[in-house]
Amino acid sequence: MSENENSSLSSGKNGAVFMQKLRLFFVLFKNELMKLGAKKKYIVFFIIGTAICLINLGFKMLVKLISSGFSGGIMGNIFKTGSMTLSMLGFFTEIFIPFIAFLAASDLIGNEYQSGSIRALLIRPVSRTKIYFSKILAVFSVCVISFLGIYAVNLILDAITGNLSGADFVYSLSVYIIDVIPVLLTVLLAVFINCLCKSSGMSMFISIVVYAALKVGGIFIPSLSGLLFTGYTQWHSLWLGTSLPFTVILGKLMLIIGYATVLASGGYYIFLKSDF
Amino acid sequence: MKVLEVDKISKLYKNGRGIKEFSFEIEEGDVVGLLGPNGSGKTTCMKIIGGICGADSGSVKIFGVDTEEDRETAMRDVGCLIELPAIYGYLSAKKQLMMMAQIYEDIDESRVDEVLKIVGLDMYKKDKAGRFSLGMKQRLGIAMALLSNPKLIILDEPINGLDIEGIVEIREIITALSEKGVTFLISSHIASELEKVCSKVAVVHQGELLSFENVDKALEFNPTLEEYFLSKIKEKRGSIIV
Repeated sequence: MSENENSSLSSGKNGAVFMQKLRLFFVLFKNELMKLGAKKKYIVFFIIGTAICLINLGFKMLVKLISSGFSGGIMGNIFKTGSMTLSMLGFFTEIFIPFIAFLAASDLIGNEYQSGSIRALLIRPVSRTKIYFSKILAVFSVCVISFLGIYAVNLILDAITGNLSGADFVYSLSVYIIDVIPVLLTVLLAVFINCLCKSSGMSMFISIVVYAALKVGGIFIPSLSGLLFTGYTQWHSLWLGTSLPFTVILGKLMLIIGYATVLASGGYYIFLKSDF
Repeated sequence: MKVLEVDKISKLYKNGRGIKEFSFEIEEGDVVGLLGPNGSGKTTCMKIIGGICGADSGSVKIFGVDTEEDRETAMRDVGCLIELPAIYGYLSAKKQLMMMAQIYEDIDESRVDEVLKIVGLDMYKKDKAGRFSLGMKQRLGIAMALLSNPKLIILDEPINGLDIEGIVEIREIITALSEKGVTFLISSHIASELEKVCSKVAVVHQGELLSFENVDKALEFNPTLEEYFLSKIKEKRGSIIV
C-alpha cells in the first residue's frame, strides 16, 4: 500500500471517529433538551412571559386612553401604542431570561448532582467533556427558545396593534439576535455556580444573589458597569444605532470572550474533578 | 482474556475512609463478588471502576483500555448499577431507557422493551420512575445496566430493596448471563447471596483488599463464604470482634 493510500485511509478513519463523537454529543444534547421539555414549568414560565406582555400592552393602552382624555374610545387607543418588541426587551434580557437560565442550569446540573441521576450518564461510554458541554448548550438553547418565543408573541401583538412595519421588523429581529449572545455568559455563570454548589436550591439562590449583586454593583459604581458582563445584557446598544470606534467594540468583545472562557473553564474543571 | 485490571487504586476521603491499593484482575466469564461490611470500600472501588469518582492513584483497564485515557472505548461494553439506581424520577421507565439507548448505535426500542420484560417492569413502563417503590427502582437500575448488552456488568448491592421473588429473579439473570460469557463484578455484604452466584470472591475490609480467591478454593476449608470472610478478618485483626 502506498503512502498516499495509507494517509487517506487514516484520514478516513479519523473522519469517522469525529463523526461518531459528534453524533454522541448531539444525542446527549437532545437528551438534555428532552429532560427540560419533560418539565412543565418551562411552559408555565412562557405563559407567564406572555401574560406580562399582555399586561404591558393593556397598561400602555390605558395610559394612551387617559392621556387622550378618553377621546376615540377603547378601539381608537388600541392602535399605535408603540413597539412592544423593544419596550419589553429590557425586562426579558435582564430579568426573565437570566431566571430561565438559572432554573434550567439548576435542573440539569444542581438537581442531577443532588439526586445522583447524573450517574446515569457518567457510567455510559461518554466523556465528561461531552456531558458538560451538552448541558451548557441545552441550557443556552432553552434560553434562546424562550427569548425568541417571547419575541414572536410581541411581534404578533405589534402586528395586531399596527405597530409593525418592515423596517421595525428587521431592526427588532437584529436586536433580539444580538442580545441573545450575552445570555450565554449568564448561562455559563449559572452552570459554574451549579458545579460549585452541587445542589439545585442552593445554586438557584446563589445564582440570583450573584447576578443581582453584579447588576446593582454596575448601577451604583458606574466605573464598574463597563467591566461587568451583566452590563452587556442589552448588547445591541453597542452595535445598532451607535458610532463607537471599532477598537472600543473589539475591547468589549474581548472582555465578553474573557468572561466566557473563565466561567466555562472554571465550571469544566470542577465538573471533571468532581466525585459523584 | 482479561476483562478488568485494577492496579493499585487508592482513594482517601476527607473523613479518613476510602480504599488502599486495591489490585485484582477479572477474566472473561468470571462472576466476582466483593464481600465486605458496610463502609468497607466496596462501593468506592466500584465507583472508581465505573468512572463516577476518580482515584488518588492507580489505574483501571477495561478490556485492555485505560479508563483515564479513553473512557468512551473502555466503557463501551460495560453496564453498571452503582450505589442507588441513577434514575430520572420525572421520566417514565421506558423514556429514560430510550434516552440511554440512543447513546449506543446498535440499541433500539425492541431491546428497551426486552430489558423491561427481563426485570419485570413491562407493566409499568409508562409510569414515572419517581413513583416507583425502592424495589422497582432497583429493577429499573438493573434494566439500565443490562440495556447495552454489556460484556462486563458491575452491580453494587443488586438485591437492595428487592423482595424474595425479586432476589431470585436477579440471581437467575446473573446465572443465565454468566453462562453466556458475561462477566460480573458484584458487591454485597450478604455472603450467602454471593456464594450462590459467584465463581470468585474478594474480601474487603476497612479499605483493604484482604483476599481474592476462587469460591471453590475458599470453601475447601470453610463450610460457607461467611466463615471464609470471618477467617480472613480474624487473620487480619487477630479476633473477629473489636
